Amino acid sequence: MGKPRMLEGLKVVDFTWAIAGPFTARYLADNGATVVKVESARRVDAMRTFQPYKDRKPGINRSAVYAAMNSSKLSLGLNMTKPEAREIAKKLIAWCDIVVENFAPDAMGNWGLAYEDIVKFNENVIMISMSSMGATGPLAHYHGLGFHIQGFAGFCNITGFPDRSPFGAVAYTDFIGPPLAISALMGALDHRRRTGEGQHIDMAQVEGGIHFLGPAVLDYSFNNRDAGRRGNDSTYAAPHNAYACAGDDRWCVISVFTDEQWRALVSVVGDEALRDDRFATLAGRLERRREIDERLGEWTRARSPQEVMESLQTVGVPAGVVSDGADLEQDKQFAARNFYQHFDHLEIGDYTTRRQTPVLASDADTGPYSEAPMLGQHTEYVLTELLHIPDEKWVPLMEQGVFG
Amino acid sequence: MPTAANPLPPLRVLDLTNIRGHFCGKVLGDMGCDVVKIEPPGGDPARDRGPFVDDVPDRNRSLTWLAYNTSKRGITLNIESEDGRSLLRHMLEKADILLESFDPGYLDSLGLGYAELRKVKPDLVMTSITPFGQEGPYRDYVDSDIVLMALGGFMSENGYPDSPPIRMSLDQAYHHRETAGGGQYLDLSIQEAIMLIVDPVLQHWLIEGKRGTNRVGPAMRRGDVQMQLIWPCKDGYAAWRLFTGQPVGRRTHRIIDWAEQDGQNTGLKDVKWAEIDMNDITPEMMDVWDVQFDEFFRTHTKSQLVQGAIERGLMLYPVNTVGDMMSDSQFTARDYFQEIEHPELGRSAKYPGNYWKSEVTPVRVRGRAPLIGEHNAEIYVDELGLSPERLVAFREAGVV
Repeated sequence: MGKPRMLEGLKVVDFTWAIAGPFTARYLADNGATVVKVESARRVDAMRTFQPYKDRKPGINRSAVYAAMNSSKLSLGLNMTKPEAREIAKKLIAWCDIVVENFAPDAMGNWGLAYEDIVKFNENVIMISMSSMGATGPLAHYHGLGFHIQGFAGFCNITGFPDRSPFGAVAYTDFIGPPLAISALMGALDHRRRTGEGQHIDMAQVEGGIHFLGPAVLDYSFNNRDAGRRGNDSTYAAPHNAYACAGDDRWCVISVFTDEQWRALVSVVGDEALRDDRFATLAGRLERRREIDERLGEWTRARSPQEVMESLQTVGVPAGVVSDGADLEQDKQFAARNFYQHFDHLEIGDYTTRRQTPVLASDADTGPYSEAPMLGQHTEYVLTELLHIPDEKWVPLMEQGVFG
Repeated sequence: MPTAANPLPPLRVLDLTNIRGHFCGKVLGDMGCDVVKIEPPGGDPARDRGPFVDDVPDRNRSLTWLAYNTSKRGITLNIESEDGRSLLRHMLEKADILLESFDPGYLDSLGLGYAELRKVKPDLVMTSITPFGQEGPYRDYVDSDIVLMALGGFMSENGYPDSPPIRMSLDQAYHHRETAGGGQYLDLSIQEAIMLIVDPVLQHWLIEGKRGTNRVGPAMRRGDVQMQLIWPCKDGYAAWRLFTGQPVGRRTHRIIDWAEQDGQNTGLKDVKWAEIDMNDITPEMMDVWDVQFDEFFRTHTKSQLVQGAIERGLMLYPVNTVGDMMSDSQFTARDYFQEIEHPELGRSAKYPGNYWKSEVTPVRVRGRAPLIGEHNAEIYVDELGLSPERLVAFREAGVV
């Protein structure tokens, strides 16, 4: 038998799409909460249309990216353009402890489900809204996705090389916001436990994200200086870069912060030129970092990234493989911590997902418990088992297109 | 009207972390916990990390330290000494949470591991934040920010075909962690926290079996097509990507109309964007379109783009510098940046404030990070009941 789950018994309605919202609700689901994701085939969660699809065949239940964001959840198909669907949504919200949503600020209100509306029938509900820019201010209605928001916050401008374009491939704010949203929700639950009082949390994705730029924000505040792009260079370490290794597109990172690490590196690499006193201090290494890059590169090119990492780690030099998908799947450390779990998905078949909570707990299980749902997979279950709606009330609505 | 309270009650948190865990204690402090940062005598090593206030390298002026230790009180303690350990156990009796980020095994070697501390405080919640976790083959690997970004998979997503994979030019890996509830021991791996960001990288490998990094410049790969995400404009860069099909393809007409209004002959007026399935786009189609989008961006300034995007309901954002971002009126309207006093410097400075807004339990920075040993007397003498003479003696002995 498994250990207890930290959020067992917590009831959550998940009105989210894309990444930041679903990811937040997945933390709750993977820690034992009952999470009902409300979605519609008429306007599917965009992630259901994201590649890769199983066997490269498109289909709303075949996206591996959607599957990665939504494990352990139940899916209720609701066509929210129908008044009957909105009534069922209200029943669901009356049932729950927490509503999570990340639409643009007006969307929930347009369905009559804004916080002011729902407290009328669930007085102590906790609702978190995670729009791009927040529910107030001149940019409240400025729609954006993760890659836009991280550009606005300032992350793209510090990623890349000084003489080339900023980068933005990873929707960074989509992933750093959810743990903060969880902190907000845990605080709100604790407050409710003590006082019985619910609340509305207005979390702008951009504002949560900016906290991860702390030193750069303070550098501007105190010193009026704007951090720029520096490639992989560091003020405190040289070498400090990714080095091409043997094989096709294989790389290993090496970083040397101390003189001791440098001597250890030189002893392994065995390049006599690197024993020169000019490299003995950090100042000397920083000044000659490109020369070091070149010489190290000659050594790494003859070796696999694993060999480079292991031989350097053995002598205490920080080094790590630039992991691609296969490396991530085969990572020995992940295996030792049971990071991955396999599920049998109705359309995708065998599929692998990882723990959402990067934590092993002594007295609790941190999931996940089931594969991401097919659209509407649990509609009947939610209506009958969770909301106890008699068959004669909901079955006729099926033909009217209320579910789906 | 609800009354404003702290999101968390004044739980006492003992924060023994280094840079790997500073942010965790900061969030708890900003949420209202009583966080006591315990540093080795002389101060936390992160205090040597720049940039520094006015570029003066001083252990109380490190912005890396100041950014991630707000709302904490600070004391010094040498836990390698017998007296230091006994003081820690004493403090633990009145604490609720212990945060630490030492290398695995270090606290055990001092008799301060979870099993031992639990005897002092049976309902202790203890969180260990380490690069790879407490067990496993990488347990004793030496880490750095770039190493964790690499092993977590993040590096494989950034770079040009002619450059190495790259990271962000700011230490990021160490800020990926979270708080969790319960009465227990939590063993957190930063490597796992990084991997969450690039889960699709794993999925691409599992489904398509294609190895390698994704070094396609400021773009994303969708099947065989590269879609540019960041575009050079007249005075900087903007973030925008093409959408076609339902439901958002219709928005693409608006950017073409805009370009045409401004005199650009795009030749794309008759393209039915909403009817083109994203899965049917070929690299050849993309090449033709990109020329026009590129010209559109290059002939507009960032502020023209933002203004026009808001008017037209387009998902098009500026790529801000930190300075651009901080001067945006959105944050003024939401009272986001907080002016935090630094009496020791005779000035104040703007800090990121509300992580989120709530009328019931607002979260805010309660004060700047502590100076080295700033609260030694307050905590050891006033709260723990040590005599002032004893504190002096401990200082002489290097315990505090």
